[in-house]
Amino acid sequence: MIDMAGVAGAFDILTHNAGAWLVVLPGLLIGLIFGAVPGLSISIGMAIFLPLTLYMDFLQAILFLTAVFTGGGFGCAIPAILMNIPGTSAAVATTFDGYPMARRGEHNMALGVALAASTIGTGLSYLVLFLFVSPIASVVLRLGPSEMFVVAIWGMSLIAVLRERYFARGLLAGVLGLLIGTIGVSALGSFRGTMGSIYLFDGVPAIPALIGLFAASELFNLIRADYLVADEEKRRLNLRGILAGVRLALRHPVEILRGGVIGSLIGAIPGVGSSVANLVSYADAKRRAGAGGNFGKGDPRGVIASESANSSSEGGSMATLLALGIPGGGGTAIMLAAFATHNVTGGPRFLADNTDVVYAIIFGNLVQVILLLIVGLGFIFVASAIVKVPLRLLVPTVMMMALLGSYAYTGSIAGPVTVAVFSALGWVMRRYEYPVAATVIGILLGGMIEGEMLRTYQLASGQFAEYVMGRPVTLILLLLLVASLALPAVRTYRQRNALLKEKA
Amino acid sequence: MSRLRLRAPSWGHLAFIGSAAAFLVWYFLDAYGASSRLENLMLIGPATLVGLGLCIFLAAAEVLTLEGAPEREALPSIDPRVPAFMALLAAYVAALVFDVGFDVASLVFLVASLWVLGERRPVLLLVFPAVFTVLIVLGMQELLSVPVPTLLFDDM
Repeated sequence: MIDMAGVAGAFDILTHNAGAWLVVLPGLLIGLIFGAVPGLSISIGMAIFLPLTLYMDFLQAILFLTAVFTGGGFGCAIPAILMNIPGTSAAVATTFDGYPMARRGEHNMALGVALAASTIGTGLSYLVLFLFVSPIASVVLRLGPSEMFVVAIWGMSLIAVLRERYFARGLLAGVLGLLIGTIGVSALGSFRGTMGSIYLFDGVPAIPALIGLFAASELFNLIRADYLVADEEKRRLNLRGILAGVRLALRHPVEILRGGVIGSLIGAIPGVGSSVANLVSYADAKRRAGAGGNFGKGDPRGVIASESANSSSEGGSMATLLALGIPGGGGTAIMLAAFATHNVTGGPRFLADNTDVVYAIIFGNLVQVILLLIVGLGFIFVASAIVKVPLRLLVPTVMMMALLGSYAYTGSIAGPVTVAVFSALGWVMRRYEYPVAATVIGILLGGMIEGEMLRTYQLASGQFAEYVMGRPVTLILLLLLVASLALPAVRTYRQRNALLKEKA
Repeated sequence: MSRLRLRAPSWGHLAFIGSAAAFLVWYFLDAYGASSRLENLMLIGPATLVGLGLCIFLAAAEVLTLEGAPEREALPSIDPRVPAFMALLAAYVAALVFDVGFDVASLVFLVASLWVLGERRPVLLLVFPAVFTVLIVLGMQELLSVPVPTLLFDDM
């Protein structure tokens, strides 16, 4: 399972390549900033700084990009906790309990919990990668389009399941997102829902839509208050509070471990990644806590589950990238571009021939984790100064940055227009308690779900049922999907009946 | 067996459900018009049906409730600054569409938004937006090399 000669080679590379370490700190800071500023994202940061990697050797380039990735993994939790705006889709579930904690004045503790869960989660995922890089690759290779289809639908429906109070609203939000995600030119060349606009040929720009639904729509809601945290005493940052959060997270090693394993496994599935991993992990933690949990109202275990999973999905997606050469998402897609600029092709052959380099990347990332703990702690003080700014200043400036960020992402006016349209939609959805996260996940996965469905249909030669019956893994996943959808509905029905009987 | 009774609906929520249903129908017809092949409608068809079913269910749940079920809480009233800020955002984006430039459009948007949101101190109302706009727009152009269209900065 572990190639000892490769381990020795990795140590040799890392101890004789000082340049590889020079890029780690700037990488972490870039990741933290791009993750923490609403409107920007880890992928944007990695894309903007990708040209710099041309001047680096391969290991240096990958360590730099993974440092951006690692920093961003925690950076996106900061606005999620302080402003209810996930820096990226990976921190959606972090908002569920992180923001209520901040509104209670426990933002120091929530940030500490997130930092500890993030760093340990990332570390765990690279340990998992170190131990299981070869077995993970063989498992992922066996997943066909039918399994990928069910996994993606499952990931999307989970968000509806999380909002048990309004299950049907969650499903409708997901369906709307799914369909919006299929707008544009189809695989067969048909123009669907484009209204003749060239800006929609490639589909609705997903990142600006995400910014609009999450960030901008929340800004409308913030107008009603003067400060993010009403009590001036509670806006103060203190190291003691953050460290108390770190200690609190350390008292939940099982939850971190579980989130780390879920994140690593889901991160290894191409196209799903951290945006689903945090939701699956959160749903799992919530289900396990049962009636004893305070999930959705500021339970630190919710932050632990989300942050350990979204950070650990990085290691999982690196497994797929290194072992198969398939990017798991935006971040690893950019890393794939860095591979190409250095004439490296990921895959089983790369793993076999360059085990020392692969292990060097893994060990380098384990060191990054320790650095993140220190750098992240300092960065919290910079980023969270935001809670001290009056909202009447914060709201328009963040909105302007979100619009500029969306322009930078799309390179056209389509970005700002999308932000504006989806911010209004998001505000209406929030007002009537539709989970905007379900729509976002639908938009992100819509194209992929349709593609996998189409490939399944082609492989099955039109005989869907026969094909699926012959694939036990698909059947098991389907059963899990149905169970996860049916159980909350049954539970709600029973609770309602019990309530009515009590009243009678 | 519990009986159903009518209740006063939230017209805003009903309007949202109606808009969602209208989008579902329009998108299906548009996709069908583009190509009626099974491959094209494989996902869109079933998703539209599920979506419309959910719309009917949600609309029914909005006007009907079980006898004896607790009354729902009234929605909070809308702060008048919210629609005003939304209108400013729409105007900001429209200005960008008509090539006013990020510099001028952002400055006007910031000043107007700060005023609408209650800021009256001259320094924060005028100097802050100017400094912030210059820093952000130039930062995007010079540090990140994003070619942000501008009206005034091109001449600098």
